[in-house]
Amino acid sequence: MTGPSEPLPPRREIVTTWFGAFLVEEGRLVQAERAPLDPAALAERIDLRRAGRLVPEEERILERLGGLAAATSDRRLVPHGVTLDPRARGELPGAEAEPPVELHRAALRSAAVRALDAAWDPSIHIEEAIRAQEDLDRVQNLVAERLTSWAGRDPPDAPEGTPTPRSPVDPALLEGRAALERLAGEIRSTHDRLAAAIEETLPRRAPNLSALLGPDLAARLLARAGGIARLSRLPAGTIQVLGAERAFFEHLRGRAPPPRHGLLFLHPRIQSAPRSERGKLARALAGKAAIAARLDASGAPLHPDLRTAFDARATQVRSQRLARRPPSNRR
Amino acid sequence: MDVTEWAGVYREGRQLYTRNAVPGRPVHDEELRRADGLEYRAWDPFRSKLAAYLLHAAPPGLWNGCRSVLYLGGAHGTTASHLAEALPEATVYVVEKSPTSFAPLLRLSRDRPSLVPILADAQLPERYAADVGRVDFLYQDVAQRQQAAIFVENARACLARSGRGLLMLKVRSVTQRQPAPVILRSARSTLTSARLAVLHESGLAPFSQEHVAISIRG
Repeated sequence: MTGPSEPLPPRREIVTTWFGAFLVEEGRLVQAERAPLDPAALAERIDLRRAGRLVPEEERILERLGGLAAATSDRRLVPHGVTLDPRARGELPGAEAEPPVELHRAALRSAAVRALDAAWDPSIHIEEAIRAQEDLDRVQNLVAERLTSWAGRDPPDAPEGTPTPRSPVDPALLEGRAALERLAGEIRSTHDRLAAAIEETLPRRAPNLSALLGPDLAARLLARAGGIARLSRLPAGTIQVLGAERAFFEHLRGRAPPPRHGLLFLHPRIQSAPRSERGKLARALAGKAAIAARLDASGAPLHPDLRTAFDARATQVRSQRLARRPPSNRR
Repeated sequence: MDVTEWAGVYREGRQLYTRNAVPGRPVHDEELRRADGLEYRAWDPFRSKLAAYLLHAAPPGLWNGCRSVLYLGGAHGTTASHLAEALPEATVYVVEKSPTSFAPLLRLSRDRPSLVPILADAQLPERYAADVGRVDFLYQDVAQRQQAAIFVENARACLARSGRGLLMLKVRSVTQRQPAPVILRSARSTLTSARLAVLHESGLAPFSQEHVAISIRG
């Protein structure tokens, strides 16, 4: 009898290793399906496993098994009628010859290169550029404030002919200030370059958002939400108040009316509308922006209806106002 | 340079070292030191919780004789590179799920043939178990709520019979709402109810706050 530390192995176990799939019955190897030992074939099988799918060797084993009960330690096989069993140790009986490990390592490494390549998201660069732009905004404000303050410290003009009792300002300090002024200019030009780069690339990466909102506003929304993937998961109601967090939370505390719009206020259609209509327009725009974000996140091409639908709604809102208002002598 | 009770790890005073597998090149900006015609890399306990654990009187021979290692949560590969150097005969499979962290890890593995990087999620061991096979040593350092359960699942899928393991429990990744001893107790019970025997436990202060190293045997 076996002790509790050594439970009996399952009667029939499917074992998958990197070089094939095997059926072990009562401690004996009864079927061996070996994978071809070349780098390309091995890499192909690695990719299948990484995607959670079966490799051809496992399929052959399952086929011959024809529904007989078997155990495994590999959860990939569970949807195919094999039982997950903690006693299955995934070990081959006896001295099962193992092919050269270097071959396996090479295949794993090339699979890793490909996996990284596939997982790489180029839009991360747009997001970094947008955040860099926001960083520059902050720095620009800081430096500009300091320069304004510093410029106000210049000595007042001395009255004609009177000798000044003041000691002159150290020229080294004034040179320092000049350098800071140059830096401010540099920040401005870098900011403009980033803006131009974003404006150029965003319509390609997020065509729907850019078309609906314009590249600048689209970029700001993306930065605020933390990328296209995150923005695509936000409900329209959240998009409507992105950028108005403070007003929104004041509202939640019962101290303020709900904000009509956050960043979306930057949209010309909303900015130019009368106050009473901005809420309606922002709501409509947020709804379309949510759809646009989801289209862009899935890599869909430009969908022309979004813009038209929003424009139609804007016209409708406007005509409702005109219809409500009695004809007045002002208009 | 003095040998220690852990294979492949050397020390001079309080500072730990491993033999540099790529002489002349550090992995980040750690100190390189030549002694007896060989080059050693300093192993920083503030960067690597494994080094911190060794300095906290880890059991002697923690990984001695291991032929294969599964390392979950490889990040940029700082710790994994030292482990690979400490066990030059072993294959070290490093699982990391973030592509951003994976890129430096992949670069690192180019010069170190025994280091094998795998871009996968440690929560789904079935996706890499067949490639890893049964390992002698399982190391985990991931910031997940279900850390103990992930460790147990990987031990089930990949740890050889009576293999050893080390779980670096990030207490605050489990929950913010409970005191550390409660979190630790529940992690311990997750491990023992999966028939993993807890051998040794240690906090990692002052090198890492709110981390506990749990050494186990399967």
